Amino acid sequence: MREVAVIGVGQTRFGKRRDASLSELAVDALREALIDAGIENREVKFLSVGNFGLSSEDITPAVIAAEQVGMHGAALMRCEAACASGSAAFYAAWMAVSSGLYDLAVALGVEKMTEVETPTMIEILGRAGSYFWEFHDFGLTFPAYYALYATAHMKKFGTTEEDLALVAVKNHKYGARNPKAQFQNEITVEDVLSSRMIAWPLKLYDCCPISDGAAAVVLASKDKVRELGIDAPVWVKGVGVSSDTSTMGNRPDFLGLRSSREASKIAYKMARVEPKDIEVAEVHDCFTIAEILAYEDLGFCKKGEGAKLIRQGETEIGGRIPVNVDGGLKAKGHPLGATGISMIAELTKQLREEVEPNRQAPLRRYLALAHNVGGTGQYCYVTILGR
Amino acid sequence: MSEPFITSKTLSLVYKIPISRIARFWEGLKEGKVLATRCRKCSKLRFPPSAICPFCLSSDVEWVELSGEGIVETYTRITAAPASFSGEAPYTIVVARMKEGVKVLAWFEGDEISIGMKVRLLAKEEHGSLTYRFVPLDEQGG
Repeated sequence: MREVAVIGVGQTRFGKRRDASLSELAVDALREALIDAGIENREVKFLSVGNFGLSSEDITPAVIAAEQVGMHGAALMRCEAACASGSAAFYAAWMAVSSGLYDLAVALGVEKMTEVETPTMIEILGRAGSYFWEFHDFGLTFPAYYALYATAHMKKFGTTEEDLALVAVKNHKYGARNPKAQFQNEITVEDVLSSRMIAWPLKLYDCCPISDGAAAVVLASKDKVRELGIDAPVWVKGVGVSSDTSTMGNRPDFLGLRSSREASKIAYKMARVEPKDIEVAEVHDCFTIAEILAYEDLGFCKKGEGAKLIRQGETEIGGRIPVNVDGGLKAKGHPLGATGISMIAELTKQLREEVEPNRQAPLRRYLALAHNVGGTGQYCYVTILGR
Repeated sequence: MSEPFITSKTLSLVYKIPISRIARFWEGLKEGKVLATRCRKCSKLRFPPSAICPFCLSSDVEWVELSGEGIVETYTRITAAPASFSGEAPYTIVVARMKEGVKVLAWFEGDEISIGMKVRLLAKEEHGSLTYRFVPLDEQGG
């Protein structure tokens, strides 16, 4: 297995992007990533595309993006892993380079979610699980899947609605410092608690928004890094992937995501690091409870102590482990297929110390972790990056 | 400010989902029973039912009726519904662990709900289609 580096990243502004189509967003992100890497479009022979689909007109986004960005003849594929589709594309590109098949590979994540009406988008997301057994008769929604976990976590560990709100407040704080974030405003605990109920105990401000956006990363082998004279490669130190049941009914408990625990274990082992070594993390906060579950499942704290971590400010800059200091899914936005790639792009910039100074995590060992969940833990991808 | 756009052609998707391999499940609902499958080879019980055992892949499965007694493991109440459930909200979702060990997710019909509460699973016909619901254990319903 060869060493693989991230040598270029690009990301569009996330949000309601009525100004650009799916392929135009894709081209914006790809162009930025190619320029950042210093390579030509024609050099790219492998492009994987993370896209959940259904919410926009094109069902073959890989070919459309490749044509418009001049990657004719490249190996193309669309990768689907619900909200972790971007990470699935990253995984494919990483395997393409680490296996020795390609010296360069590009992973793109792109999603347009605002071209359909909001209730239709809620419908599409609610089907990302077991349509037949849990949607058809019972109309589950995405917030509802996570609410099942929130209810159980609150009962077992005494996590409160205020604790959940603190996650939203933190992530909006950093979103306000990220010019590419969908929400650029700070909010208060009171704003969250008084927002409209969506699926008890989750309220509107506990939920990530419906977003459009794209992100892209260029990966290269060690030899290629040397050949190109890349001065700040960010190395992929560990990758872990796991999965869980499609039906919620067949989960062992509702206190954490089994796939997060298993994927992170694999990634830590490959990178030969421990949770305490990680200095900045991007975790999958599609709902506030999801960030608290992630703290525990990734080993940033013990099971049941996630709420304590947010209460004590340990996941802010200056705390033990800054988490989602780009706003997270909650404030940066969550264009499904783009999210996993955006996490890698953000952490690459964090490790290069290139982000806005008021949201730069302090680094000593230069180790970062990205955690991207598809569905409600149906899929999970964990990536550890380092300088 | 309104950006210019073009409205796409309409694509209407309705799927005809085959159920012949597990048709017994709906026959059961019609008889007022909620059925699961049990593998005759590894004896594991499975809900939702399946014609092939997901544990040992044997196709030798039998249909067994669930007692209907369960304990609430978690729940939520949906107030923002998807397009195809508009007008139905609010509705309460419960995941309960049944006496037999399998878990079932379904709507709950009742006022009070809490984790650890005992519930009963009932087969039900609603708007001409067969489904199943949880009610508080002491309620007869059906």
